[in-house]
Amino acid sequence: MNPMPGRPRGVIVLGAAPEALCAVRELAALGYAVAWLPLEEAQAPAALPPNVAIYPAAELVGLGGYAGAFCAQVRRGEAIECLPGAAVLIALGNARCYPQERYGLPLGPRVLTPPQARQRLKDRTLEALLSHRKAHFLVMLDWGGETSRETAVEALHTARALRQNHAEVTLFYRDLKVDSAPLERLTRRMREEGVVFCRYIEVEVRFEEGGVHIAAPDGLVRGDMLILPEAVQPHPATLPLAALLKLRVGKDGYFQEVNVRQVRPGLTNRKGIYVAGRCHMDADREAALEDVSHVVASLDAFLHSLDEPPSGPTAEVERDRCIRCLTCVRTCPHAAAEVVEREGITAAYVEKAACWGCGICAAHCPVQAIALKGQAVPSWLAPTAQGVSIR
Amino acid sequence: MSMAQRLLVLACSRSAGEALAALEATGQTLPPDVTWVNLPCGGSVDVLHILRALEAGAEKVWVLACYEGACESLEGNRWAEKRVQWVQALLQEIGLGPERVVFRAISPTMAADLKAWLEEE
Repeated sequence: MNPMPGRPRGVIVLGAAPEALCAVRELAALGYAVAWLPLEEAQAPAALPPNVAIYPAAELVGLGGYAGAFCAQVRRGEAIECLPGAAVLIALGNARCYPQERYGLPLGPRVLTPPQARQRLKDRTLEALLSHRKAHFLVMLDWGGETSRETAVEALHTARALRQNHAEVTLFYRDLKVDSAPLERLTRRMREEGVVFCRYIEVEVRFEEGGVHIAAPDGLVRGDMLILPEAVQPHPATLPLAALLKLRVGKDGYFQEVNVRQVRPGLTNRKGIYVAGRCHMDADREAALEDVSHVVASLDAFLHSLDEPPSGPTAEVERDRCIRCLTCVRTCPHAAAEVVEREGITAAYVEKAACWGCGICAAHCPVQAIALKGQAVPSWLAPTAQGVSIR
Repeated sequence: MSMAQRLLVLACSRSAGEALAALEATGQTLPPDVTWVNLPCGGSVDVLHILRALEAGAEKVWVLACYEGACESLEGNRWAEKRVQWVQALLQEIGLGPERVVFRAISPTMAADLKAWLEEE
């Protein structure tokens, strides 16, 4: 698992999420030269491997080149610098918000989010409540819609921390997926320590006599405080970055991974550009970091494949027939087609290194100027015959 | 003209091609009057491919591509379906049966379904 000797390759890492740091470390350990652009204010980690260059205040203004030879155009102060890299890995992470509309409840003295509750445990502002009598915290998951994996796990950890501070904790849930060994261990310990798990279908939440009452079909639970998990949403930089890099964003607003057969984790619609972690999936921290390892392995395999001769069909433009209608540029899902001037002719050009050989451009081309090289279609079927061209 | 007369299949090699390979791995072969053409993606099915096949004498043309959301080129399957619909409208207009051109979604694991479809036809 080492890069080819004598051909040091670079990888550009974008984002400031914990996943990005993890990816930077893993790539550096594999011997790649890493250019890390956090793209936002972030604290640089104390120790980075020597083959990592971090550009903290850099703004990404464009990405030139293709898989194997990208060039990140970066503005630092006045100057625009070009950082080369054979591949790009994006680990933006996600953003958090308190979904007040979903819950119909503002945050307040009796309604906290898990991070707030933990902060108050830390700076001991819950002390009075915890010491004067048995305080009772009600943690409510899946209320008004499914709680994301990441914030649900965070709420579980918070419930456990409260319980360890001698509070009573009841955790309401509708659909809690315990599908990993760490989560299984966590929930088992929580039960052992005395956290009460309570499944519900419909509940009613009331604030009465200085307390919170949750009316479930099985009975009424009285508590002192309601803990409501936050919601996750796409990182605000997702859309601008996707537009800059010509990447697809799914209906949910996250980066869309093209990993249909589950064999190339993190692959996007552009060759050589990968997404990792919570900018494309709903995952808790452990699962997100695990995803980074899968994506780094996938990216490493891709960089190794660059040393082999390309296989499979690729689109080729008959440049003197091109009418420069930009149809291929518009329809190529992999951003491999462009109109450029070469050898005195301005015409469409499909970059082999970026082409997936899907043939969508060839089927769209109104003058049949694009053909798939390496693809055998019976001659009687080929649409480039006399009489169908409109030239 | 070197094609079987009954049925021409324009297949996305990433889904239908895999399904056919799975079928052939069990020792089964395509009926002799079926011509199979593998294309890299459903999106590379051209309207002219379909029309040329009909012109060459195929009774029916099937276009087999991935299910929605399963296309590695994101929307190749949608393009394929749209082109089939376009050809169907054209056939309707000139008085040929639009049912001569069929779009079907398929996944690589659907070898058994593929066999059933071929037998039905």
